[in-house]
Amino acid sequence: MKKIIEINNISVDYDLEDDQEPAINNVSLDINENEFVCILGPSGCGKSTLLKAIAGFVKPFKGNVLMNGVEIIGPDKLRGVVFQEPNLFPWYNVFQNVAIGPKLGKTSKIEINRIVDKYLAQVELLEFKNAKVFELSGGQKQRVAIARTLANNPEVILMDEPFGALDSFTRQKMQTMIRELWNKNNATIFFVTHDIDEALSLATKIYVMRSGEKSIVMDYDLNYTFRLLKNPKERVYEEKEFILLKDEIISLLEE
Amino acid sequence: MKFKRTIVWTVVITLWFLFTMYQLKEGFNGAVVIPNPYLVIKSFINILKNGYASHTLLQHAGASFGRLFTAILIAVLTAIPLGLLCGYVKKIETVVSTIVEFIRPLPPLAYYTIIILATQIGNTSKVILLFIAAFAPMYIACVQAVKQVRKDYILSSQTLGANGIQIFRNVVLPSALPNIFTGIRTAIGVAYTTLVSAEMVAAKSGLGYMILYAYNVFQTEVVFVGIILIGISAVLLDDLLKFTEKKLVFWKGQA
Repeated sequence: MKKIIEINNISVDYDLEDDQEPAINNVSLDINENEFVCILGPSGCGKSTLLKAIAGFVKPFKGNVLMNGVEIIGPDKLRGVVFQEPNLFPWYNVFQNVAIGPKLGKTSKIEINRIVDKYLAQVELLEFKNAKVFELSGGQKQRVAIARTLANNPEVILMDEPFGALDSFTRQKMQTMIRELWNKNNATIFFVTHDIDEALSLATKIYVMRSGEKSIVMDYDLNYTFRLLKNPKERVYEEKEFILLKDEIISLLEE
Repeated sequence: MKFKRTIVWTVVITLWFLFTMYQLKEGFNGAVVIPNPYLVIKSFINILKNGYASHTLLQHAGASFGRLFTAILIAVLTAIPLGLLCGYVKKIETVVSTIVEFIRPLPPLAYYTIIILATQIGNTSKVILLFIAAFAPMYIACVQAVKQVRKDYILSSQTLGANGIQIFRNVVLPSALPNIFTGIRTAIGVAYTTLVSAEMVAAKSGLGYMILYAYNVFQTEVVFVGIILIGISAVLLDDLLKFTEKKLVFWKGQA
């Protein structure tokens, strides 16, 4: 497996002057090609900060983040980001929002049309191509945001609790969809969540982050997502092993 | 909205009419502070037919609006780019804002003499005065507009591969558009209030000049004609801008 992202013992502090402890402390992990990495942890554990450091939105004061061996110094198109709030540009319609990446990259008109159609079809929103973004529901907006990121063909997609603002019914549908998109596009995903079920059912690798350490305390390799790919209806949630794993993580986070 | 405005105007005109009823007979000794509507309409028709102060009404209005629109146009072409630039570059903003904030609260007449000395009493001095009045609101709105652009919009566009100019075109400018419109509307308002001052000194035509001329010969009904024309045109112009804004900034208040 090809290593795409390499995080070497980073610490991030938003305000070095204050007495508060850093937002994240001594975090190290790798993201390999085609992995679905989930960072699981409670609010305030620093998981979003870790994502921002990978995206290049914040700079670690210690350690470094490498992408394909090169240090990340700022945001660029190699790492797509899906935010918790789907921050689509309201002055552009659905098509224009998805087209923005390819358009900035000077792709031909025909090619842009093909790309947008492909990804809008993948998120099942082709018929909303000409809709204004404020006419869409929360889940639809997030799907457009995902299509916008996919259309830019980044090497890794960073997702910061992308389904956190959605109702549980929509959230489940979105989980199934993102799993299929990940598989279909051979994507590499780095996914931040506080939802244990979500992490267990999506990830190939889970890193558990804790508020106390502000760092990763445990990691798991998983295969539920592959089974759910084959059969999305399979009731893995009811399996003893699943429940035990869940309990283990809960007690880990309660410490 | 329209309906409510109609009611207000009906009430105002009725009250005006009732208040000035006793002056219905013409030939009231000398000038009146508030002429009755009938006198004002009569005076309006008279000016329309015969002109006033050696110019036709159209010439007066044309002179005023010519000055106003020239000044506003120049302000749009200078204050908006400068304001947007200053929103970006803190150092330039410090220089420009210091000067703008000093000039902004000054009464136009205070520096009008200096402008006249510098440019003589022609049209230029009047346009410059109106331009100075219109500049500050547009400039300030644009600086604020850039500063208020949502950070995550900019980050999003960066992860989609946008460079500096592309961020400006795709994110900053459309984000700033609602504030720019507010700035233009405020600026037009301020320029209008300066119109009479501008035509006070050494003007030969214009609605402001017409008002001052009428004031000097105690023809308050002409003063009213002038005031009403200026007022109506200002309201219509603002309506036109609001309409354009609604079309152009269709997402305002929606997202």
